Amino acid sequence: MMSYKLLSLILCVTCLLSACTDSVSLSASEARLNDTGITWGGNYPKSNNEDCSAAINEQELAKGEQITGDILSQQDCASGRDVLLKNKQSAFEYQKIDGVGKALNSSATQWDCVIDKVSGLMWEVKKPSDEEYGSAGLHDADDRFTWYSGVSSENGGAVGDWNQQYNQCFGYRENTPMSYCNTGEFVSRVNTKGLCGYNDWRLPTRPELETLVHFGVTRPAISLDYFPNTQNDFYWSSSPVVRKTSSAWAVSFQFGFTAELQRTNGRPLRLVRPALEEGKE
Amino acid sequence: MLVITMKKDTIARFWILIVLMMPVSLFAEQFCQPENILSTAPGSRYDIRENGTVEDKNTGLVWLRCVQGKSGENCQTGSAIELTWAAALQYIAKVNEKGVAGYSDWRMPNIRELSTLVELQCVEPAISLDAFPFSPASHVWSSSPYHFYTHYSWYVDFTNGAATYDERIVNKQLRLVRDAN
Repeated sequence: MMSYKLLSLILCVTCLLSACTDSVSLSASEARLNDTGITWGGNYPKSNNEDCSAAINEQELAKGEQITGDILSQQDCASGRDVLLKNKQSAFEYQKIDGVGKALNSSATQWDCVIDKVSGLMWEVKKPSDEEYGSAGLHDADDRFTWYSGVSSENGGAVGDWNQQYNQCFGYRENTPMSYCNTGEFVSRVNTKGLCGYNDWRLPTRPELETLVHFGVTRPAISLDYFPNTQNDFYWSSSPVVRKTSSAWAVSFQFGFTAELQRTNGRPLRLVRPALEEGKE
Repeated sequence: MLVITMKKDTIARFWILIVLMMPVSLFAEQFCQPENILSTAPGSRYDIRENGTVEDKNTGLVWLRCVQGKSGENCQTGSAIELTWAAALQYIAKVNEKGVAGYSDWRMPNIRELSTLVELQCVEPAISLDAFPFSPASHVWSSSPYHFYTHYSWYVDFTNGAATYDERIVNKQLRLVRDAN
């Protein structure tokens, strides 16, 4: 009995050390896209399950509505990476990175960046929130920025809001444009100083930012094990909105949805850079 | 100046012309801003197949080019089916009984998969018309239930490309996906 338990423990540990990942063949899409993080089913017309199951509550159906049969096998929880790997935590594959760009063990308590091994992107990690702008330094989770981009080929036809008057971020000084709390100036400041050994940080596009959304949780909708201090707020993307030069796309990390916001809004952000040359595999 | 010098009947004809042109502008026509917005899902990303499918070279996902209910080379035959979330989940089993494009392993895309189709350089619809011809600017269900408000599920609004949620009892369109072999 004892040896059997030991054997299964060893097998489990080997799994955790990702040998299991190699032994299960993921389809092309599962290797390139994160799973959603949803491991539970939705009932109809309302309520969710704890496990991957689904029920139709006939008493709650609208008059004349008739639904019988299987509503589970096509649901999110019934397929994908987490099902194939038989591990509910395996929707994402992250790696902690220290201040000089060195890979850390997942149990590390101090880290500055995270690599998403599936998307091939490296992300900025924010410092603890105390509801005071700038108190935790350049990467303070509390800091807020307006949307600003001087790159005319990518800004949707307008530069956005320079935000010269509001002290909403680390290092703000009156009449000092380089210190203003807007997305463009923040990117410049991070690249001047460097982060995790790199100077090619930028604001993520909306699809890049969406790769971080963990749809299985809310408030916040992200893995807090790797991205602590994430705010229940909209995070800026670099994607402009067609025909609306005063707006840009943001992702709610409170709930996970996308929204068009006014560029004058003060919102948090999380910078990104490409971590792997090929970006895939 | 020009208007002042025109005769009354000319002005009347001018207005008739404007009125006649109005219905044309009411037809939603895709609008893109390539000059100052980066493409997020260009047509070049898709391998277009003869059998009515496209393979996204970025994600490895294979999509049916027409929303369910539409058919033909340019997806102009028939009318799009709109179903509640539960009816949509069941409908796909029926699709797979018969099979489409030679396959019977079609799935309802999860919200992350469906969102990869969003082309933020364009609106009405916010999707590549090269890969998805005459695609409607419509709401399309995903297979993902919503966590916080449990009478909602996730969908993509292809009018502007938003990934958001709505009540499960609402009728929406369907776009099927399968994993590339």
